[in-house]
Amino acid sequence: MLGKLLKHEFKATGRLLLPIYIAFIIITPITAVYLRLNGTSLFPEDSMFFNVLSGLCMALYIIANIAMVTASYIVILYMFYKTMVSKEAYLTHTLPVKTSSLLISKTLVAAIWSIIALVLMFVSILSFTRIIGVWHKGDITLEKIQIVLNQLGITPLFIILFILLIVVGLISSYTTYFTCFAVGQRFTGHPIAGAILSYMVLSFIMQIISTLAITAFSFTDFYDKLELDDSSIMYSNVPSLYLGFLIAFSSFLTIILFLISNHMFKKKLNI
Amino acid sequence: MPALIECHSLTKKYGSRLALNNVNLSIERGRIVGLLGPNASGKTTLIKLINGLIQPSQGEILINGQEPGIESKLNISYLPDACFLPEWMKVRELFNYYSDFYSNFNLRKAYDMLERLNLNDSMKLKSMSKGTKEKIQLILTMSREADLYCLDEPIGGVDPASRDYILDTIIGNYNENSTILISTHLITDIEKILDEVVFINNGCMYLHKSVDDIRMEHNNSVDGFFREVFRC
Repeated sequence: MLGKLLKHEFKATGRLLLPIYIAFIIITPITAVYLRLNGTSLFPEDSMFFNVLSGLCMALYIIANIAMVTASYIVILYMFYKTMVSKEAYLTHTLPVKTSSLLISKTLVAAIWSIIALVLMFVSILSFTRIIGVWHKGDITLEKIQIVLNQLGITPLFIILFILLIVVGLISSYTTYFTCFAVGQRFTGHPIAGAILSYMVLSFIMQIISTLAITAFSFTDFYDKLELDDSSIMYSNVPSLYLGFLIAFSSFLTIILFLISNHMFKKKLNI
Repeated sequence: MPALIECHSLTKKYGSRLALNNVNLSIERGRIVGLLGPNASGKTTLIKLINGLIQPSQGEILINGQEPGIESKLNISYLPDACFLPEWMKVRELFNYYSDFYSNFNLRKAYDMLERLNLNDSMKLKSMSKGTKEKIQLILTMSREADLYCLDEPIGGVDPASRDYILDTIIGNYNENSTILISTHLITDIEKILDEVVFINNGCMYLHKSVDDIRMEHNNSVDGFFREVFRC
């Protein structure tokens, strides 16, 4: 059933997110090409109109980046509310599927869309800066990247762990929001207010737990074992082990939150 | 074999408000049961409890001898009193959705009912009138070969012609091994199809009798008897 849930979840969210992503993909070359041509005989630099237009293009591109990532969150949270707490929840919660499968499908799809948004943003910024002439062909090669990474002291393991931390962080953030809705639906007639209140309380609790955990981690002899290198910048002193700790800790919190939301939707459903 | 629905001292509270109070009820297979009562009497609460959408505060509810869960959700076809389907979906997509999740969804039956309404499956739900939406919801609900059909106010808010269509659809798709539980306060319209009735008021069960018994014992129709009992 998980496969079917994933299929329908992709369909339900994709119909809203795909147009946003496509619009973003279209905006990138249009704004970049205009900025590239600005100042040429086609769009003279001394024209007030074209100057304003180029400023608008730059602003549009920056807003489009922020809007795409924000829209992913808004669409996913809106769909979660609609299908798990609002009227459509009558359909969702009478499907013969496990509550955990429902939550897993929604979390996975949410994380995948957000990863797509981040990848799109990364590729778009690379393309945008290339088109407007910030960098040129041959400026960015694998060899040059390796040299820079070595100078910064960033190892391949660090990069893998960093990407993993982003993925775990996304899953953790969606699980947190979903847990807030799971608790919020207990507030009969006021599920959104309940979710906001739950978010405030949950954020406070998680902040305390995170601070305690990181403080406890700093009391270990971990930092003493660091080999400090004066010639490298800060990143070289951020070891992979620390990222490993953050991933493990974030995963642990995510599992706890998942268990809470599963319990609330399974045993304390109130729609 | 256990009764299809069994409620033992079933109580549901919303805060300090009692929505259902100590309800004991047993409903067998192969019946069409009217769940009747004035507004806010606890009908929808009972139906939600049957479907596992809310949990009892006290007591228990059993479907086929088991607490509501995955098994009961497969065997109960539920029609809520509000539009619960994704409005962006086309009828065809809704049929596929039901086929995917309910092994007992009869696609041919659904298309037959759709044809009788002269509707096509490429229509989106959001482009339909309220009455047509309710008919589509009913088609989806009645196309499942379930043990229990829970219909919450299926004829509320539709015109008399649509009411006839809905009642015909319910009767036409009724299987003698399954039970239909219909919640309504429009008794005159559904009285003719009922085998038994459950009267519920202020969260308490007032009576559970066959329609024939009510007519014989009280020398009155169910509607007439209901008006007598719940006179303001």
